[in-house]
Amino acid sequence: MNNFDSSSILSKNGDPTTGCSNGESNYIEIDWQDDEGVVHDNASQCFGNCELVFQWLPCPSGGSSGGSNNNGDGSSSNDTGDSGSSGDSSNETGSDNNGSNNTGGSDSGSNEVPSYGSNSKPVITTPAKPCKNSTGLSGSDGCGSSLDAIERDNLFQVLSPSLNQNQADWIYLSADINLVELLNNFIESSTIYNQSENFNLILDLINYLILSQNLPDDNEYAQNGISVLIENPDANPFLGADCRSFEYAQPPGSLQKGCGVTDFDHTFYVYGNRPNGSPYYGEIDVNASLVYFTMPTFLTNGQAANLTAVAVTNAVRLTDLYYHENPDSTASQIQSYFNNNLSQQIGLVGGTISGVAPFPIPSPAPYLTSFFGASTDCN
Amino acid sequence: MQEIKFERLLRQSILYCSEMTESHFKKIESPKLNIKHFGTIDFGRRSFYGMHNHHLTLILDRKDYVESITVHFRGVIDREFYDAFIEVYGKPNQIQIIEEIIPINKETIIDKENNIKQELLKKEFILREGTFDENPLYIIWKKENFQIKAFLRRKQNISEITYSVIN
Repeated sequence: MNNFDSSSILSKNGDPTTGCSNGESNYIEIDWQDDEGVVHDNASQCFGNCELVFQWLPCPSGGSSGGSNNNGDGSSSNDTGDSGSSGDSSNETGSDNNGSNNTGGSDSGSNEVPSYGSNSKPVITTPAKPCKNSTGLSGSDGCGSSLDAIERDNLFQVLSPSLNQNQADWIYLSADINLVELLNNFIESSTIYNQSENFNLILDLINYLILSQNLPDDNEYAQNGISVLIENPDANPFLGADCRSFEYAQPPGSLQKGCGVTDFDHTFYVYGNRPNGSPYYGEIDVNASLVYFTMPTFLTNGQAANLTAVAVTNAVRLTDLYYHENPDSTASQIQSYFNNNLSQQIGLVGGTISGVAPFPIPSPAPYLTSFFGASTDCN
Repeated sequence: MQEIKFERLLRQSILYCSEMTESHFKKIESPKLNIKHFGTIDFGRRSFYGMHNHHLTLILDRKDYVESITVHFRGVIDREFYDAFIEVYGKPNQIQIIEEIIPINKETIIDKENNIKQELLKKEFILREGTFDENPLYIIWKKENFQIKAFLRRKQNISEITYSVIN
């Protein structure tokens, strides 16, 4: 049985029925639609193949009301605004208003977005899911509730004013549940001041994942990126001046951010004692005159720079340790090990390193320092 | 100001280290290196002999206890830092100076996978004992249960101080 109650979300946002607060012109109506097309305003009353139906409805005049009449904008007969009155009633209202325009959710494969009045956003519907599918809206008992569904609902609810149908589909059909949970945590950890910025970042991330959903590990790097951002929501002071070596830019139409770095020079060392007890020290210097990095577009330029600096630093440190364990390594062995680690570490956060520019970069930045910098952050 | 006693973090859990240093540690994966290696993703908040923005890396032993902890910070250890360190740990057991540099080989390689052209230079150094005023490469303190090794990387303008367990 579905026990998700839309009113619990609406009541957070203002009017206990509509969620409208002063100054807001629209609110989201959440209903549950069963196999037979009957719409219920409470999930506990919906049985069988239930799916969520979301509508972007005009707030009643005055910003809030008891919810008895939310069809305030006089929209056309195709308008489903009448269903907005469902907030304080049992479940009948709106059921007969979910005619042709309000049942988009049942057309799971359709990308058509029904129009919804001249002043309103399109109706965004959740895709239909097979009842027995436990990873989607339904629970493991066939049609019951699941924590997964609540996580997806929460994310949808928070982002819904800005979502398009593809993004809504992604949340319910494609998104890894762990990533959905992370995104919800990320939103919860956001301060009120950076919440809108983070919403935009998440929407960018979703767009990126929609475009790159066939690439391997995209979910992993998204989770890594968000995990880092949760731990450092405001700034990542790590590497300070070092991160300024990575001046990322993203030309219009590019699916990646990119930067160029000159004199990418690293020295690896080994230290030990000879059989006679005398200490020795060895160095291998690996210098590339020009390298290019790319990072996902959902990161800001500063975040991309910080994460690149972290990845490079990890690769350097690992190579130092490898050299320490293999003191007789040749220069080419160390170079190969460093490059492999560099590719892997930068890949963990969705980036790449190459000797070929991803797009024309007129002035690559000099590699300022090899390691940790001052407390300046790149965000 | 009371400094962090990193030697007290040796043989402890990573959770304890995280609490004591007020830092978050993230595992650094490496398929070819059989070690458990962690690094902070932010700067340490507490002072370390006047260095506020230090970064930590850890290596755990087979039982997941801290085997070594390294403090990385910008700048080469100066006399003031050195004297403050001596007040706590006493005079070092070794101060190692570069006596001679022996070039081994130099080559240029193009990494076919990433298409990066790289110049490689391998050198070996012969070290001797010296004093702090001779620009040391390593300064080593050997204690009963642990060792402190300061590595002064002048070319990169950084220092690393590693506290490690002595078995």
